[in-house]
Amino acid sequence: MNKNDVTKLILGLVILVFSTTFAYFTARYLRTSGTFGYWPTLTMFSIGYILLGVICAKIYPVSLGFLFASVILLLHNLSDNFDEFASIHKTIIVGFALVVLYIFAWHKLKDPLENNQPVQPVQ
Amino acid sequence: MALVLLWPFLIFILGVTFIALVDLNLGGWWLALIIIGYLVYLPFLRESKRRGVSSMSNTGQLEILRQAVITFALALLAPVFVKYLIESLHTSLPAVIGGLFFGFALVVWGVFIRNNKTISWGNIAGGALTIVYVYSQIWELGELARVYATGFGLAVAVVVSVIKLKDRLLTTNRT
Repeated sequence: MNKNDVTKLILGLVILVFSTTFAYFTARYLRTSGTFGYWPTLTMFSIGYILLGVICAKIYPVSLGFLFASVILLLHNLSDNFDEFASIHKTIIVGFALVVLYIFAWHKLKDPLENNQPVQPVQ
Repeated sequence: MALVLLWPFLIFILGVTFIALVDLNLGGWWLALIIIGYLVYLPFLRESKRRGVSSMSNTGQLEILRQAVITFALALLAPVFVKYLIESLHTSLPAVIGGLFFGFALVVWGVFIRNNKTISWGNIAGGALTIVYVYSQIWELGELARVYATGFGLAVAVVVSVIKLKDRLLTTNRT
């Protein structure tokens, strides 16, 4: 890992930490002042971070920092509220995850060519 | 989009898998820690098996980790999906039969798919877990349902075995 990579890693971590704490502090402030709910605020932040991550896709540290922050916010939201969702909503969430996983595995995780050779019969 | 940007999504899917397992009382966060530890250790395990042949690059280790995460998520999310689906349809008979078809379809797809071990292993494990869960639900629906379910399972097993063995026999005869 050279100096450039270390700089990228540190900047990505700084973006991750600051974006996560910014979302949590804002959500807590809005809840205390009665302006907006805690979990809806975190959800909106995570959606915003995903959009930012996609927009900055060519700058890896910035993009990954925002995307990992959105993952933290979404997982925290889900882990606290998942049992309150209706079964049909859980089905949709899990089904969506399955479909995306299959699409990704189908297109990107094919076996290397050496495994595609026909099996030689045993003499 | 570069492959590196898919890591947040994979970690999110892994998190959703654990949240669903905890929601279903199928294990606490200690189980999640054990599985994550195994997944992280897996590339090094493969490396030690390959020792003396060639060393694996970091990219290769990440590739193995990515495959393991996806196989694991597919294997666990399939039965969780069927369980939620059956629950949302109030454990009706059509829903249970649909779940049974889904489980067998996954297993058959996993057995016959080529060039993609990730989907193959994920489908076989996920389909098997789905079938076990659906059969546990069928058991409560009465004796006739059990007869249909076991008959259907037997028919699928025989058809799959015949097709696989026929394939092997043809390969042997060509020699």
